[in-house]
Amino acid sequence: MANEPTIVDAVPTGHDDNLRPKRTLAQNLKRFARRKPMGAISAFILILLALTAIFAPVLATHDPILQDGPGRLQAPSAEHWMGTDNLGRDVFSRVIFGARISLEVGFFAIGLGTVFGVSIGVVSGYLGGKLDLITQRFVDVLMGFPFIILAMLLVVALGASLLNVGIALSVAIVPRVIRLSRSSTLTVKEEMYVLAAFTVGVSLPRMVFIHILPNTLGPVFVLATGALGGVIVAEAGLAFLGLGIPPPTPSWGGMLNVGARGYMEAAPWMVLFPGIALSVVVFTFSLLGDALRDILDPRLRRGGS
Amino acid sequence: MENHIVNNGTRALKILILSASLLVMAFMLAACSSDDPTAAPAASSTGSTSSEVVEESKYGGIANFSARTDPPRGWDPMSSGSISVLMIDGSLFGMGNLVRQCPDDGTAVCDNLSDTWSANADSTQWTFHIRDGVTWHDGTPFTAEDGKFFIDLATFGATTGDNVRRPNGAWKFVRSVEKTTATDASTLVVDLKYSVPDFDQLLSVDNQVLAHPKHLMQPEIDAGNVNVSPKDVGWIGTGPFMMESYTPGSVAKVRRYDSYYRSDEEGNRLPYLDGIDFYITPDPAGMDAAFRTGRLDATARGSGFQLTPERENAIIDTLGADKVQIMKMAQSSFWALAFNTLRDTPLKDLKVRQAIHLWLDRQELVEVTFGGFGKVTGMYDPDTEWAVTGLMDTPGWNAATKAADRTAAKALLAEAGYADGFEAEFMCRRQWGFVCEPIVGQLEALGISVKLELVDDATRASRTLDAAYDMNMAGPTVALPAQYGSLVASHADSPTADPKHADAKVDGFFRSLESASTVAERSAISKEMEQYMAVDMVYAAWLYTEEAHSVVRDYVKGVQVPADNYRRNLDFATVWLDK
Amino acid sequence: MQKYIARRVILFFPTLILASVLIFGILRILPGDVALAILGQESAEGGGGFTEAQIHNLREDLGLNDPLPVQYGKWVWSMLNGEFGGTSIRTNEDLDDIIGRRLPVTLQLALYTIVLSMVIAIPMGVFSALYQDKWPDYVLRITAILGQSMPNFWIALLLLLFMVTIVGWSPPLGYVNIWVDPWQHIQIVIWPALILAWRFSAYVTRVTRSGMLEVLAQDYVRTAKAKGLSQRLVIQRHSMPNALIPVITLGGLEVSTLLGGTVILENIFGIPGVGQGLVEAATGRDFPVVQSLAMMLVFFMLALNLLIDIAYSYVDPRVRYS
Repeated sequence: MANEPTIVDAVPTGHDDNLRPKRTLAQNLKRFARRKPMGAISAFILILLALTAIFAPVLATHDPILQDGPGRLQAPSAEHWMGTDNLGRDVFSRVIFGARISLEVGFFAIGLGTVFGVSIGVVSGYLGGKLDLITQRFVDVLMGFPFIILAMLLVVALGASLLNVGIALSVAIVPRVIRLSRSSTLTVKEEMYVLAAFTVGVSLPRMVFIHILPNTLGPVFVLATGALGGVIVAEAGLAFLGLGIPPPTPSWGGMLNVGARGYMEAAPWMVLFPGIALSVVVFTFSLLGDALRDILDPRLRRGGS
Repeated sequence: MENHIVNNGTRALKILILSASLLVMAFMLAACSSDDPTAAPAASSTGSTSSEVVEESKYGGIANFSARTDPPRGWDPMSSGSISVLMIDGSLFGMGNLVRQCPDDGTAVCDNLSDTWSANADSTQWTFHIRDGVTWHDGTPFTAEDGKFFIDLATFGATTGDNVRRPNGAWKFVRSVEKTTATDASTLVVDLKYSVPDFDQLLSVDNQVLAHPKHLMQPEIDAGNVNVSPKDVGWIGTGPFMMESYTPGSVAKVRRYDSYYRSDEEGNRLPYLDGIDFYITPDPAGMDAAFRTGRLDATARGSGFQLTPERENAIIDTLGADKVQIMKMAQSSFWALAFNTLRDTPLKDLKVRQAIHLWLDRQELVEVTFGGFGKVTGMYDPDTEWAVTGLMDTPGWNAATKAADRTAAKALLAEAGYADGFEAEFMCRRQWGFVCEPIVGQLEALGISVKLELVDDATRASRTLDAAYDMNMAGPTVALPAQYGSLVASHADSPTADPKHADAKVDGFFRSLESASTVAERSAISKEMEQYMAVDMVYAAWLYTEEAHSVVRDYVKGVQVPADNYRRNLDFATVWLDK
Repeated sequence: MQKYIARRVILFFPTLILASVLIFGILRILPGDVALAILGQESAEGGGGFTEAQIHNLREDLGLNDPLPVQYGKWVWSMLNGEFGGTSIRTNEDLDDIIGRRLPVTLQLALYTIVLSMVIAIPMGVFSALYQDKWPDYVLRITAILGQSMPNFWIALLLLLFMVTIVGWSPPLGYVNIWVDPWQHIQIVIWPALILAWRFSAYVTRVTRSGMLEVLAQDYVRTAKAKGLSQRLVIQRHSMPNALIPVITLGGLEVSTLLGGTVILENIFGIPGVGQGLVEAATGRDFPVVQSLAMMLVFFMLALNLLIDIAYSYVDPRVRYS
C-alpha cells in the first residue's frame, strides 16, 4: 500500500546469517557505540533517567506534594535546589518524581498501544481478506483523525486520571504499529520457510508466534522508542488543555502548564527546570530512535557511509 | 528504484499543485460562508453631538478593549447571563431594562429606559413611565410596547405552531408577573400575582438586559423563528453604541450612537468615545502581551482573565506604574467548601465539619490561591448589613486565634473518633483546580486524605443533582438576599444546591427571606441564616471572595468601576480617552 | 491501473461512513450531555441553580431525546445537504458558517507550515545525508529534533515573552484572512506557522535524510559517481526526486499530526481556526460542532490521502499491483 512508512526491514535475509559469524551481545553493543556515538550517549542518558525514576524517593529532598503556603515562590536556594512553586512545593523533588510519572505514562501508553497494535496488525495481515480490508479502513480513519483531538475527547469522556491519559495517548501509535506489523507479517508470509512449515503441518498459532512475531518486533521496537518521546510531549499538550494528569501528581507537563501560564517572569524556575528536563528526555528518545533505525536498516548497512 | 527517475520538476509541480489547491479550497470555503463581517443598518441621527467640550472629558477616539470569547447564545441576555455576553452587549443595549442598578451602588435602583415609576398601595401593580425621546439604533421610537414585549417574552416565552420559546427560568422577577398592559405609548402597567414590594429591584438586576426590539423580533417570532436573538436582528438596541461590524473570532466594532438618550451632568450627550473595538482574545497570555505592547487599552473580565499579582507586576514592570490603572472589583461570589451530609461518611458528624472549619486557614488560602487579591468572608461580605456582625473575629475566620483553633480542631476530630484522619472525595470543577489544590493541602495537614476529582461542567452538574460527592467546591454565588439566587444557601430540597442536607430549618429561612419586604427584615433573617448554616451546623465552610483585578491604561478615563459585581457598568458611556 | 484507482475510490466511501459512525459514537459515549454542560456552566459561573424541568426542556430543544439512529440519520442528512450538521448549541451560529470561516483559517496555517517546512527541511535532510555522521549532520538533526522535543505551547509562550519584554512588540489583534489584509495576516500567522514548521520539519528532515541515504547507497548512484558525475548533478537528477517520494506519501499521515498541533497554538495566538473551535466545542459538549468539524477534518485527510495514493500510483508501478 502506498501509505506504508519506509519499512525498516529487520527480516534476516536467509543465506547471510548462515555464513556470517554470530556476534555476542557485548560485541554488538560495542559496535553500536562506536558507529553511533549519539545513540550511545542517548542510551546512557536514558539509563540515568530510568535510575532517577526508580530511585526517586531516595533522590528527592522533600515530599513532592507537601504544600507550604508561606514558603511559596522561593528562588533556588540551598534548602530548595530548584526553588518552590506557587503552592510552596519543592520543585526539585517534583522534577525527580516527574521523571517517574513520565516514564510510567510513557511505557504504559506505548506498551498498551504496541500490544494492541501488534496483535491486530499480525492477525489482520496473516488472515487477509475481508477482515484485513475492514481493519485497514479503521486504520485509515484513525490516522486521519488529529490525534490530540481524539485524546482530548477520550480524556473528556473517561475523566482525567493517570490511567485514562495513558489510554488516550496509546491510541496515538496504534495505527502506525498496526501498519508496521501488518506489512512485516505480509513480508514474512511470503518467505519460503513459512510456506514450507505450513505444508509440513505446523499449526497456525505456532506459526504466528514462532515465525512472524519475532520479525515484526524489531521495527516495532524502533517505532516505539521514537514514539515514547512523542507521548511525553503529548501529555504536556493535554495538560495545557486542562486534561493532563490531575494534580497533585507531579508531571512535567502539568508543571510546565501551571508555570508557563503566569509565572514565567515571577518564578522562572517553575518553568525552566521541568521544561528542560522534559525537552532533554524527549530529545534523547528521538535520537535513540533515530540511531536504532539507522543501525537496524540493512539497506543502509549494505550501503555503508 | 532505478526505473523511477522522476523529473525533479514534476515532483515540485505536484507540491505546488497541492499547495495551490489548499489555498483555493480555503478561499472558496471562506467565500461560500455567508458570515462576512456583518454591518448593522445605519441609524438616522436626529440630534447632533454637542460641540462644546467640557474641560475634563473629551469626545473622540476608538478604545481597544478585549473580550475573552465570542458572545455565545446569539448574544441574548435571556439565554445567558455570562460576562461573555454582557461584555459587549453592555455597550449595544445598555445595562438593565426599564430600570437598572445604580452605577455606584448596586443595591439602589436607578432610572434607565423608564424615568419614573411607582407602585400601588400593596405593591401588586407597578406603573412605569417610559422616558421620552428614546430611539432604537434604526430610528424607531422606543415605546411602552417594547417594554411590554420584553417582560412578556421573559415571563411567558412565545409559541408559533410547533415552535416554542420557553420562559426565562433564571430571571427572578418573572415569577410574580401576572400580566402587562401598555396603556399608552409612554406608560406600562405591570400586574403582579402577589405583593412584591421590591419588584423594581428585582427588575433592575443588570444582567437582565433589554436587547429585544419588538418591531424586528415580533415578525420573526410570527414566522416561526421563536428563538430569535439580538444577533439575528442586527443588534439593534438602545444603548450608547451601535454595531458597525462583527468578525467572529476576531473583533466586534461598535460606534457611537448619536441619539443616545443620556447626557452627562453638564448636559453633553453621551457617549464620549467615537467607538470601541472589542478584540476576541481567547488566551490570557495573548491578551497580556497585547496590553503590554499598547495594542489594548483594557484587559478583559471573566475568570481566568483576571490578573494575578504576578501578571499584574509584569504589566507594571513593562509599562510603568504611572501608565496603568488597576481596577479592583469584588466578585460578589463567596467561595465555600460544601459538605454532603446525606452520604454515610465522617462528614455526617457535626464535630468533623466543625474541625475542618476551625482548621482551614483562610488568610493563607487567599494568599496562595489569589496571591492576596481577595478577602476572607462568610456567606456574605462581612462589611455589609447581611452578615453577622463580628463574624470574622470568631474561630475559623480569625487569623489571630488560628493556632489555638487548630489544636481545637485536632481535638474535635479525635473526639469524633478520627484521630488518625479519614479519606474523603473532593469534587472540584476543572477550571477551579487552582482553588481546590491549596484546600487539599491544608486538609491533608489535618490528616484527611483527600481524593481530588476535577470534573467538567456536565459531570459536575449531574453529580450535584445526584448528591454524588463528599465535598464540593461551591463557587461563584450571588448571595445578596435581594437577588436570592444563592446556590449555596439554597433550601434543602433544591437539587442544585451544593451543600447537601435534609434540614427543613434552612428551608424555613429561605422562605422567610422570600416573603420579607423590608431590608431590615431581610438583614435580620440573613444573619440568622448565616449563623445557623455557617457556624452552628457548618453545612459548608465559607472561605473568601476573590478581588477581581483588571487593568486599564492611564489615558482611559471615566470608567465606572462597580465595587460589588464585575458584571456591571459595561455600557462604557462615560468613558473617554485622554490622548 | 484503472482498477487500482477505481478500487481506491470505491473504498473511500465506506471509510467515510465508518469515520462518521466512529465520530458520532465517540461523542455519545461521553457521560453527561450537552444540556447539563450548558446549564452546569451557567450555574457555576453565574450563580443560581437550575431545575430538572430546565434540563428536560433543553434536551428536547436540542433534539437529544430522539433515539440514536434517528439523531445519526438527521446528522448525516444535514451534512450532505449543505447544512453541515445544523447549528451550534452554544453560540447559535450555523455550522456551514462555522466551517466556512474556521476551516480556511486552519488550512492557510497548514499550508504555510508545510511550505515553510519543505523549504527549510528538504535541503537540511539532503545535507544531513551527504555528511552522514559528521558534524553538519549532527547539528542539523539536533536542531530539527529539538523542535519535536519541546511542547509547542511552551515555545509559543516563550516566544511571546521574548517579543514583549525584549522587543516590545506583539502580534496585532483581530485575525484577518490573507486576501483581506495580507500584511496584518502575515504578522499574526507567521509565528504559529514557524513553530509548527519547526516541529514538522523534524519529520521531513528525517525522512528526506533516510530516503537520500537509501538512494545514495544504490548501485547506480555509485556507478554514476565512479563515472565521474559531479556530486551535485548526482543529487539533483537521481537522488533527490526519489528521496522526496516518501516525504509526499507520508505527508498524509503527518498533516493530521500537524492539524493537531494547531489546536493549542490557535488559542494562544488568537487564530479562529478549526483547532480552537474543536477545543471549545469538545469541552462544552457542543455535539453538532464537534461532529461536523471532526468529520470535515477526517474527510479532508482521507481525500488528501486518496489523491496522494492516486498520484503515487502513476509514479510507482509496484503499487498498482499490491
